[in-house]
Amino acid sequence: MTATRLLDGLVIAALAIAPVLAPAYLDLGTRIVIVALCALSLDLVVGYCGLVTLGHAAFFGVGAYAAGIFALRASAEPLAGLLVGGAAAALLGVLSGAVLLRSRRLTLIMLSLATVLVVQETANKLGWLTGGADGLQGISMAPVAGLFAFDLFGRVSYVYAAVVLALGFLVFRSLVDSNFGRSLVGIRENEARMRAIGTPVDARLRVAFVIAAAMAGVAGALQAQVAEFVALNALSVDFSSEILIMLILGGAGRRYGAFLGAPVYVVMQDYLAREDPANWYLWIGLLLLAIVFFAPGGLTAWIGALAQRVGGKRL
Amino acid sequence: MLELVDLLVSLTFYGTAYGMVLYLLAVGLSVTLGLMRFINLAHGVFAMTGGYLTVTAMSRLGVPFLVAVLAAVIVVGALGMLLERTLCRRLYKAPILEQVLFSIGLIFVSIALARYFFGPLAQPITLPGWLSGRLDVGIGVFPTYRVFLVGVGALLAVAIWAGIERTRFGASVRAAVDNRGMAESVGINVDRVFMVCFGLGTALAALGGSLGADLLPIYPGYPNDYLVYFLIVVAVAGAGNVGGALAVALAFGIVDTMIRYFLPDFGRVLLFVLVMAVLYRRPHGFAPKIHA
Amino acid sequence: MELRGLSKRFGALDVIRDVSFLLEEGARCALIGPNGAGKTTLINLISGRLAPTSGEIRIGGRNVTAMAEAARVKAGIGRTFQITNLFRRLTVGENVALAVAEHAGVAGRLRPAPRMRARVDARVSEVLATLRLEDERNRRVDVLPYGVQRMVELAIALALEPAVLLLDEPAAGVPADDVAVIFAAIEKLPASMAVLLIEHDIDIVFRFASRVAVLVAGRILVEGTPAEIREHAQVRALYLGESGHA
Repeated sequence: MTATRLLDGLVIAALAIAPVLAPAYLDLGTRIVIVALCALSLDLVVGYCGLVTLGHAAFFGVGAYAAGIFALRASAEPLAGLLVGGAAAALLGVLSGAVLLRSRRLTLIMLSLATVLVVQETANKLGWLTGGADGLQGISMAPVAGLFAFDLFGRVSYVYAAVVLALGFLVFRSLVDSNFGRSLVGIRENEARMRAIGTPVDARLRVAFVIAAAMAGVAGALQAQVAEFVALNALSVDFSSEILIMLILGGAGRRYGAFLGAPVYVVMQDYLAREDPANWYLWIGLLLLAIVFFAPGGLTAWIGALAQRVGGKRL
Repeated sequence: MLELVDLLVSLTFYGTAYGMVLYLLAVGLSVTLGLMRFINLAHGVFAMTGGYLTVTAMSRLGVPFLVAVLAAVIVVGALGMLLERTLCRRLYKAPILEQVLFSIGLIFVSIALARYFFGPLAQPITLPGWLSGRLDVGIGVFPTYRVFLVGVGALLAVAIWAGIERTRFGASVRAAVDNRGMAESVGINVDRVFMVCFGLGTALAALGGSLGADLLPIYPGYPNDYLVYFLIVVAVAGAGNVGGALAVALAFGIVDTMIRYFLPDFGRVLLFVLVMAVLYRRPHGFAPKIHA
Repeated sequence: MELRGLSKRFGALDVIRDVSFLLEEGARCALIGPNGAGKTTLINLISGRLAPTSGEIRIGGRNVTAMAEAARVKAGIGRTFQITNLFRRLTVGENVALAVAEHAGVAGRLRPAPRMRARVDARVSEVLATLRLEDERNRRVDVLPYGVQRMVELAIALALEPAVLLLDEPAAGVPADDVAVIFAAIEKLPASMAVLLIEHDIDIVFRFASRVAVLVAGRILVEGTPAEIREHAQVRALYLGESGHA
């Protein structure tokens, strides 16, 4: 148990130290933080509930657009925007969850795809509200909590995003360590048995789903505020796949997957986009196949196994 | 009034042709899901490969259309069996997540290869003379190509039904779906049944991809863009429900065509919401076992 | 627990036909019958895994027929599975803890609470102790021998403290030593708990049951004390045969 607390602390510490170690890469760091938050929320659904979905971008995107539209038309106060983004995504989570969570496996995947496509089409067609294919532009954010204005160097952006991620991690931690989290694992491991011990499976999954949606929505809101722009491809199946890949890279259902996978993926993507952009899909595809056949638990499992051999202790 | 009827008949016909293509694309996936419980989201890759092979054979080698299609189907069927034997088989007992990741990895690699060899644009396909032009089929005059699609689709549906219900192989498939252990103890080589079924499924996908190349253009984004459509057919019909897959594919094709005509703006959204409504009532589709 | 006219039909096959049955508080009843008679199906109907084609199920006078499986557990039904159905990648302790937490109504809590956790753990220890499983607490289920797994299966059901306990061949295929532990635990069950045991071993049936019901081809052929059943001509011919084992 204390090993976990130590590692949790390490994660927070890493978030705090990163800008000191790599001040020139703050923008990259902010991007990593935001997608890590999104991947963390996906971990709840995929890693802990055991539900594979390709529709998570819908929540991120809805959060982004809601926050962006809120900033443009109502108030440019960032914290309020986060709440709006989270709430909008949570609402979508309630609505889509009602349909999605009645099925499993292929049907669930298909419905999640359909959800993203529906939201994407809607955003595309409601151009007067969302800017359509051009994206939502002209957002100008007010200072965070009235005190910290977004600066040109991206310092405030990073700290803002990192604090939100840290808080998100605390929520995640709390959920995962609670009885609720344990019952989610039970549902993942043997849904039928959970019903046979009296668990209201559907209700539990819906709650987890909505919380995950809200968290992804907050991540989307952060993105909108930090970039002061929302692109339509925040609502794409491609983005859903990217988040899933990041999570798998780090290891799903293993607490730290999002924190390992997001930086590795984003850095890899950044590097390859500059050096060899044409073959990005090839490398990622091969990486995925390698993970599936050689390291299905991702980096967390790999590091864990390494640590076990070195230290002889269980993680 | 007569014009409206004519219009509806026309749309229904076009929808049926489109539905037939979807059926060919989806039926292999339905069988794989029902038989091996293997979620192969990369099914579109085989359709796309079939399409590329056909187009290449026709344009680079001057092979006639039907021969090219046949060749593509055979090659992709063989590739499918090879893939099943080497990679897919190892994932049958794996969690869904791994199967999905495998599919995504396969899709990504094939997108990269397609882009590398053929470029990012859609492949132009020149239909042979006997397929261009129009044909009078009694209820109206339609492009020969569409009539061909409807005809081929119907023929294949019958062939698949006969294959499942009337052949020994079909019986082994049904037995393996019902109870793998028992099937093995009666002497059925379930591994071989799986491999052949997978190959047949990919071959049918290649057929759908090649024949349907004019409706669903062949380009690197193919496996991603059209995935949701054949997933819808499989999910609504129910895994392994081959006869249902035909009905759903046709229904979907017709409804989609009508919606595109009458409600071009919010059509796709409406279609998906409709699908969600259907699955809300029946989360498992319409029938879970393989039967024609 | 009371069953009234319970029937289940699969397609053209009547698996359970018009079964009416009363299980009183504190009953120790065994359900026997040839293979394929429908014993497990009956358990599935009672526990809610399957919905009946017709008939009623009542627990403590309450009609639970329309309730889903999870709700019936809350209404007081607990069961074990004939084919071990555990959380294989979790430890024995975690398996039982899930049931304890669910029964205590604290499984939905969204925040970790150390004191409540301690209470759950204490109860887990109690349950494990009745089946002498304390030493296996931190071992993953999938590395355990079959007999121990069957004990975990029973432990989960016991953790639910049900009013009606349905045991589906709890000791089938289990080594003799473990059988003794399992039945010692069953003997110590609260007197108020109604227990329905599906079992093939006649010696166990006679040792445990005060009443026996015989299910044949989906129907209850006869009910009575073990001695009555043993003497019943049809049952002898049909089921008990020569050796006294099914």
